[in-house]
Amino acid sequence: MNTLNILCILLVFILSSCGEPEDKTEPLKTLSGNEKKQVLKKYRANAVLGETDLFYSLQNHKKNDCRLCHEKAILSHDDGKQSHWNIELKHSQTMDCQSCHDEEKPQELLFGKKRIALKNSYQLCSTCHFEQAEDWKGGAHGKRLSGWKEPRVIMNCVSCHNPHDPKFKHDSTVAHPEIIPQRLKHLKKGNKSHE
Amino acid sequence: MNKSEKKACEGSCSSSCENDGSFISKPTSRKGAIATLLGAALTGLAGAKAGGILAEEDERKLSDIEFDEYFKKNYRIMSDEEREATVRRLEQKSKLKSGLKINISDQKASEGVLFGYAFNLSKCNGSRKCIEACCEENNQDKGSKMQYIRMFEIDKGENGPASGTAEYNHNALPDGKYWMGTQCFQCDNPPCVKVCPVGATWKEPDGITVIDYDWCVGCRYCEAACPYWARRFNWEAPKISKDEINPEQHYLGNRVKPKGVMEKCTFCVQKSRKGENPACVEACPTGARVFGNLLDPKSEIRYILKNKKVFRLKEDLGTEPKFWYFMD
Repeated sequence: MNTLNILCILLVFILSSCGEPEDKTEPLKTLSGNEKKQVLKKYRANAVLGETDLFYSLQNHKKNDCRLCHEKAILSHDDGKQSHWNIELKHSQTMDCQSCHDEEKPQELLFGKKRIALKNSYQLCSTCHFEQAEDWKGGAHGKRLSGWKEPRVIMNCVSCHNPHDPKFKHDSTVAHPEIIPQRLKHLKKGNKSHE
Repeated sequence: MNKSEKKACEGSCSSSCENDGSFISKPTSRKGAIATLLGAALTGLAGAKAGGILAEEDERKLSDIEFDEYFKKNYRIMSDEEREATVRRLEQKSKLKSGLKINISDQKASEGVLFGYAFNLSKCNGSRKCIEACCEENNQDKGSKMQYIRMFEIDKGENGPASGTAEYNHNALPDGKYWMGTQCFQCDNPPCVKVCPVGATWKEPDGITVIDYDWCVGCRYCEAACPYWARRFNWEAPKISKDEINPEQHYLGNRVKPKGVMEKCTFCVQKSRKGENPACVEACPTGARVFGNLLDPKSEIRYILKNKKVFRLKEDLGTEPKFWYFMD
């Protein structure tokens, strides 16, 4: 497909899975053009899929690196405590942790029998959500972070959808902007010249 | 009026006023004389208005600017130098009047670019973030709360904005509703352009219909001609505080518009011509808004037109809007 030939750059905000996200990261929309370019340059990952360049950004990278906690495999923890006890899986009724995560190497995901990096999680998502994945690659699904010109920078699946609870959350609605009927206002003032 | 003439007027005014109180005593051409008279009148007015707030030199500069602005041409027939000159004048005017440094661009349309827009009805959740961003970007009057985008909440099964309402207020998403945003659709066959009696609005080569705010006479014919209610009229002098003004402006885009002219969405011409997305696209939390170049076969907008079921509003009118609605 033609769209795959686009130099496709993915900016990935990996969801925090270890601990609470405390630091206040600046949302990208408030960055100016140059600052945005620098951010993109800084977080360039050398991952390539086909002809697609993968970019990923972790503003709180150190904190969210799974290896901070997961030096050993999940199942070999001595104290018997389960990691990620606070994660409630609301994805599909038939899924469990091992549907996506590799038990032996928790910093990686299982894609069939192949291991893939967390930043390439969209490959895993697209095994079921193939229609959305097609639209996402083409541009009809998901949010674009760059301008309309190349290079193309789009949000990854997990930038918007929490993989453990993927239903899109509605955060807030901007209040109804009060529209003053200008004509009435003029009439009230006694100025009828504009009627 | 060219530069030398202007110089002559200034000279004749300042020197002769001081010397003998008459500024027609010097031999000038008829045009020059009229301009001199007007210039003197304008200078007087501006002086009376500013009364002591500005230094005398600034006052003089400001009245010179206002004089030149008054006699400038329609933006479409200006030469590149004239465009550059008016842009610089407007920048200086802002600096003299409010001390605000603004950057007005006169960037032209790039070749091989035709802007198009798509709106995903399945994804929009009516959060109105687009409207908020639009108002921050485009320097609209905050007093009258002018907005270019209307967001309609419509019952599922109902067809079109006429059956919905723009005046909803809730934070939780209700079931059985969908949302449809409207704005200027940048028609390829724009009826608003045809009715303008003074040629103050036209379609640019990249498909954006723009307004020369300094040429518009405010007759509102275009407002009546637009079948999509996309145009807005500036009833009052804009109330917008200094720190709310977006300093990155375009002559045909988000300048602070004077009282009594039309304005509307320009697909954020100041951003889109630089390769960025319009403010509404950037602000949309769901990615329901897609913007791109219709002439680029690899663009997102072309993917949507090729692979999705799309429609436009009031297609039977033949206005050929470049704004498509689509569903997943």
